[in-house]
Amino acid sequence: MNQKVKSGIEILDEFFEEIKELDNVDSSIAESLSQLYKQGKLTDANVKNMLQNLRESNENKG
Amino acid sequence: MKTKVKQLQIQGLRGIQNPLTLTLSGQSILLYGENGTGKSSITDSVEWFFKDEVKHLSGEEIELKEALRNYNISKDDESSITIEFTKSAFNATKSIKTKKDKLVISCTNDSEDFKKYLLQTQKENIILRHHLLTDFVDKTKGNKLKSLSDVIGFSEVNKAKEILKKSYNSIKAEIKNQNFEAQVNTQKQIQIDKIGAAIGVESNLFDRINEIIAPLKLSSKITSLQDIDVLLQILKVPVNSTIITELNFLDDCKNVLTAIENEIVLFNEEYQKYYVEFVKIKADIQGIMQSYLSELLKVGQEVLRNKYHNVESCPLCLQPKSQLTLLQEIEKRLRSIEESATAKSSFDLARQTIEKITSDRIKRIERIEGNSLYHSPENERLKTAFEALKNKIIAYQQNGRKKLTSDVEIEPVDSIMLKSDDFAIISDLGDRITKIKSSLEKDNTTILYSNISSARDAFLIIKKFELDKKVLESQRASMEVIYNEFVKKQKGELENFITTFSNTINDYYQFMNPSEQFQELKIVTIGEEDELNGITIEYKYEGEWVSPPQKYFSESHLNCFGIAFFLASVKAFNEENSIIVLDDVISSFDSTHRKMFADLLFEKFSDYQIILLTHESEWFQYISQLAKRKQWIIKEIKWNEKDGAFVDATPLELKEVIETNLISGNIEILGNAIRKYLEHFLKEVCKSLEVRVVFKFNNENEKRMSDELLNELKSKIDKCSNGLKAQIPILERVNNSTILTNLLSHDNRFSPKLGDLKALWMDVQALEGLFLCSESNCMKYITLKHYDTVLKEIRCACGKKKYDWKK
Repeated sequence: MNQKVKSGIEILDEFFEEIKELDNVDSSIAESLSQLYKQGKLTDANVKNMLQNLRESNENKG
Repeated sequence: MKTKVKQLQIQGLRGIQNPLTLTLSGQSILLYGENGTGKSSITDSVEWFFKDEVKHLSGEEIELKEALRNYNISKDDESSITIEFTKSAFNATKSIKTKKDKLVISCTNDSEDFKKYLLQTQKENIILRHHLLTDFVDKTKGNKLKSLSDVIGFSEVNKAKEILKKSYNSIKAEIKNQNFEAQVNTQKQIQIDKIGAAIGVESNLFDRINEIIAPLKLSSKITSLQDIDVLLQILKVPVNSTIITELNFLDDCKNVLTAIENEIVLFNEEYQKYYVEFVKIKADIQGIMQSYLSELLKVGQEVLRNKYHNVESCPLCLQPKSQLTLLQEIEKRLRSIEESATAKSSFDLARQTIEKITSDRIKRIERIEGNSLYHSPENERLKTAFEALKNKIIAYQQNGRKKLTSDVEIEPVDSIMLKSDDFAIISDLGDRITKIKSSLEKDNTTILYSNISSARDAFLIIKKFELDKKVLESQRASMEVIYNEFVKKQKGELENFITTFSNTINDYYQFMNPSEQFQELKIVTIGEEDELNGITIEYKYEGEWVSPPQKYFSESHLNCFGIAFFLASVKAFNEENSIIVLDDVISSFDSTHRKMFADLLFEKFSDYQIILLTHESEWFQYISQLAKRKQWIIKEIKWNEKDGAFVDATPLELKEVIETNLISGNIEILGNAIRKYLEHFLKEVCKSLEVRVVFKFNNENEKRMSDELLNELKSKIDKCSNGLKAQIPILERVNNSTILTNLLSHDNRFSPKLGDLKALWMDVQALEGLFLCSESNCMKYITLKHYDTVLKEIRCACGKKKYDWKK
């Protein structure tokens, strides 16, 4: 492993940027998690609410 | 060129009330202060300036802005930290002030350069605190991963991992709690009762209804859900609505009861899990005590923060105690409780499951209670049965809500468990439904309406459950992938750090332990494939690989290892800053390793600006001698009730303070400053002339009053120098004023006149002038180091100031 050593923040920045590219991940979940991270609002409660809201909006569409 | 700090000024933050200035000019500083004097207030302020947070103050219970504000300042006072850097473009003041009853944060530097600098600093590791090191030493290997991450600045990564894990688990729990399978089965049973088949596909439902309504010989067939609505409208006309309403109500009751009956196993299994967790955690008395203490401490914190108790004592026992120290101790204890609280996470999960299951089922019963037929006299038995069932579910819920204390018991599952008997009323309901249906036998249309309507509703409910389950399963799958990928990345990056820096870590460790037999230290992650459950350390001992480290490692060895990791992370990540703050990390080392640690800093980090804080007075005495030689600044931080934390000023700074305040007539500051100046220069003169005083230990030695020093100095001059003896009246004048100087200490409420202070200052300067050379290229005291054995004279460094001296 000869890649550049990354700091904690760099690891997080990179992960939440690449999260949208992950296979088998709902794009709206990936996008929302990325947004929560960028806004500094990545908390248990916010992720739980985000998932709940996505379910409700899915229900309304359905 | 990396940046360093030129000057640091803090006021109104944490334990620092009045402005505290450290003029560093890019140099390292060794700052000594007893516990509770406000050393960590400097670290907290610096962390807040750079990172916009103070990790040990973060948490749901703590409002950072309030926690940062000094306890004694008034609402209108500003709390701020100003840092001047060697790169002046980054100079900034960050402050908290009250605006429209709200605490608002502002910063004077809004340049793009400064923003970029702060962004870069977020990625760097500049602060190491004592508790991070002790955590690293104390934690078991599973938790060592977290503590190591904290040491090397990966704590945010761990935090994000925990959030993703919790979110993934909450989705899994939601799927389980909804018990979709049981709910779908209940609806399918309704369909079988009504139309003789369990149907999950839309076209099959239409076919079955077409078969049922075939005898009606209607002109059109059912091909959509809307067609079913039209059909029901046609059938509705002849229907006996009162009977149908009753029939639907009874069906509804039966469905709710049947669904809950199908969940007896779920209820009892989940309760049994909760019961086992309760008993387990109750056996851990320490855990219970901590959960007790946590609440008490939080109340205490609120009492102190809101100033409900406005005296410098403990609000509970009323023992004298600084409120600031109390608050700091409470925060520290809350932190340690918070950590131990993670141990009861499985208990919390079991408790939450009970709450979710019971509250959802109680809501279903309450929906039945809301129907007007529920309260009619003919449904009295039904009502009683529902009430009994609800009470049993409430019993589960109440046991689930019981506060975790040493004397509280919860009921075992056998005494509260749901049983088939609790649903005996279902059979009665079935009879009543059959009876109504029989009475309607001749009224085929009504029966038809009821059956088709119920079958359609059941079908729609099944579809909704299926959709809800699909969405939840899809979210669960997504969160599982995200979590696993995150862990994979964390493990990869941690291993990359370790691989890249293992030599550096080993170098630093070996530097502090030159004669140790531990060789080729390395860190090994634990976990199959992409899992990351913890870390352990491996090393060679007498040629053999050994793990875990506790086998031969002392606490001090682990400390060295933790420090080596931190310093390696400084080298790895700090591209913009040459600043390191080490807050009391030395306390964890034994005496041998302390010296080696200091040498490591002096040797390997000489190009860094180190802010080294310690409360260890003996180590401070030792290290300050070495630090002085390396051009470090040496300061002492003190604390008193009136001023909060303050740094002892140098004589030059004191002189400036005295002269400025003599002009402005600020008596309050003047008195103490003159007293300190006098004591300081008398100590220097007594040292230079080898004036002997009664032996006292370190701290006591430092606290000598000026009258004691003056008397011994006078006696020495009497014996040794005729030239100085002629000046004795000046000494006498100052000595006579020592009553005044003693009264000027903070403990006295004596208020001197400005004239008295002016006279005292003139005497002090005259006295100093006897010993201090006024030549601008010298400015040194006469000293026995420059004793002329031929002329028998004592001189200053340049030789201009001299007196006869008899040894």
